[in-house]
Amino acid sequence: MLFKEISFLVKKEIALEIRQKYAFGGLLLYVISTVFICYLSFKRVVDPPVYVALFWIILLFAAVNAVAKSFLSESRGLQLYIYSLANAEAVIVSKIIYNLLLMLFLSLITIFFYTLFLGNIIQDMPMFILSIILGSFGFSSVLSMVSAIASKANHNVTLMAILSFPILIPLLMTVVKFSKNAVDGLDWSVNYQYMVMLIGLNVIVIALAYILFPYLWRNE
Amino acid sequence: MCIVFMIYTVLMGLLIPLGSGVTSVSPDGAKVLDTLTVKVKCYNTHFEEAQNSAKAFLKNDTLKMIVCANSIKVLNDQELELKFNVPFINIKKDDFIFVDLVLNNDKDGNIMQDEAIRIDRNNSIDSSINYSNNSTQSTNCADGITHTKATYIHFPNRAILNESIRNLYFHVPMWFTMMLIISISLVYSIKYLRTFNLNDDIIAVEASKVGILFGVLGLITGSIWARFTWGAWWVNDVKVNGAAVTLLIYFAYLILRNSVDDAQKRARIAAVYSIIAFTMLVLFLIIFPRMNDSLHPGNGGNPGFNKYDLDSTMRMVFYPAVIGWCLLGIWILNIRIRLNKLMNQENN
Repeated sequence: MLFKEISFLVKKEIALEIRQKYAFGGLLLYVISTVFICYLSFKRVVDPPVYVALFWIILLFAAVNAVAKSFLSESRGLQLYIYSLANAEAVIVSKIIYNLLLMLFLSLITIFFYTLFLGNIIQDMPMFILSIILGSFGFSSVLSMVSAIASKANHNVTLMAILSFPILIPLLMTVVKFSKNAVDGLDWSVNYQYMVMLIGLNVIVIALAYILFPYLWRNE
Repeated sequence: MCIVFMIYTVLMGLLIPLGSGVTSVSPDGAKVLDTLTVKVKCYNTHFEEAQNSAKAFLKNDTLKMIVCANSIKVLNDQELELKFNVPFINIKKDDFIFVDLVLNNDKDGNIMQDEAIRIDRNNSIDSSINYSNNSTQSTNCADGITHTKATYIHFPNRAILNESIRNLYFHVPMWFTMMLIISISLVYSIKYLRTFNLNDDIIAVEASKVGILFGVLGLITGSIWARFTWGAWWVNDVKVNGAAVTLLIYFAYLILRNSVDDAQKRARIAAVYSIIAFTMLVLFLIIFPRMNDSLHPGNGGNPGFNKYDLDSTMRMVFYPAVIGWCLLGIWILNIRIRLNKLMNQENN
């Protein structure tokens, strides 16, 4: 039952996204122009810490913009309609899954343009992609939850940044170390602890979102 | 009760003198078979008072060597002039050994300075001559010592820490209090989500405000301590950064509350965010410091305070200090909750 609801809600989100192409187009343009600005100001980045940090900062702001609209853009009427049809748990899980797909797509496009313009110094590409997948997962779960909170607090977009950045710091710290190891081409065994930590963080955040979201959803 | 503990902490914590310690030894190097005249500067010692029982010797535990001072001249309470005859020690070329300096008198007890003087090989000595008999001069002055411990109450004198060891009664209990009070905030946030009683929300928000207050105080005292022990007001340390981010999260919590007008709605959103914030606090202050190295005692291979610094005199003040600070926190919290409830009644 829950799975059916979730898959239905995810399909609904994707259908909405395809219908409103400008939102996704705007995000793409945002990412590409940021990468291009970085290219114009840096030309080539050869220092691994700077390379990785720049990449994640670009992705962080793209993610905040992308995920912020997941709850903030919905009108009260639409929320009420969904509320009457679906479980709160199904809503948050479907949002997380949908945002994960969005983030994955966005980050793969970002890495494509990033390596194209700023040079490819990544020595272990599969590991880097894995770090992106785990990082996107964390971004989508944290930001979906925070977006839900911010949408209940008068749809305030600045609040979204204030609430989410401190919470994202442990995730960012881990994922930056992880992907820097990938750029340096270190052995996989070095990164097991980061992988375990990222998965642990994701599980904690998703569990919190699953338990706490119904309390947010119920109000009005 | 709380006031009694706090007054006790402040008085004892600030008034009990520090034990004696050596601040400088000059010169701190010598060669084999030299006649060495050392000027020793000390802190919190009573050389003039205990002039008759003054003793001084150099020792090296691995060589099982003790060298007594030929003459001890007391310059003033803090300064001594010592004369030693450095014995023959077989030191290889380009090698050296360290000897510890031990001072003793009946008032201050033993005052140790580890690795105080470095002894080098003396190249002008003909190594073919056998001096080894000279070094076994065992007129052992260490035997006559009656007082190895100081005769007055004092805190341990540690290198680097020095007087700042007193900060232990302020910095550490503040974080204990912060953890306690933030946990109260968590408990009442969860309770609010179960009962939707606005009184629980008042307790939760006031607890997090008082928790933030103690967190900021803990950060300030820690910063002062860091300046005098680690050398900078802010150091790049997991615990320090974690504490700062945790405070940011709780400030965000307060801003979130202010942005919503409706009381029930505000309480519900704030309770949800408070639970997330506490999870992050556990991550930052408890889990992360254990995964990474920290400069704090007890982390990253540093010995904890319990190991040897926290002697019985310090415990005597430290435990009441913890209880006192926690009670003070709960007291402030209690007053703020009552004030808020009264204001609510007036508004209604």
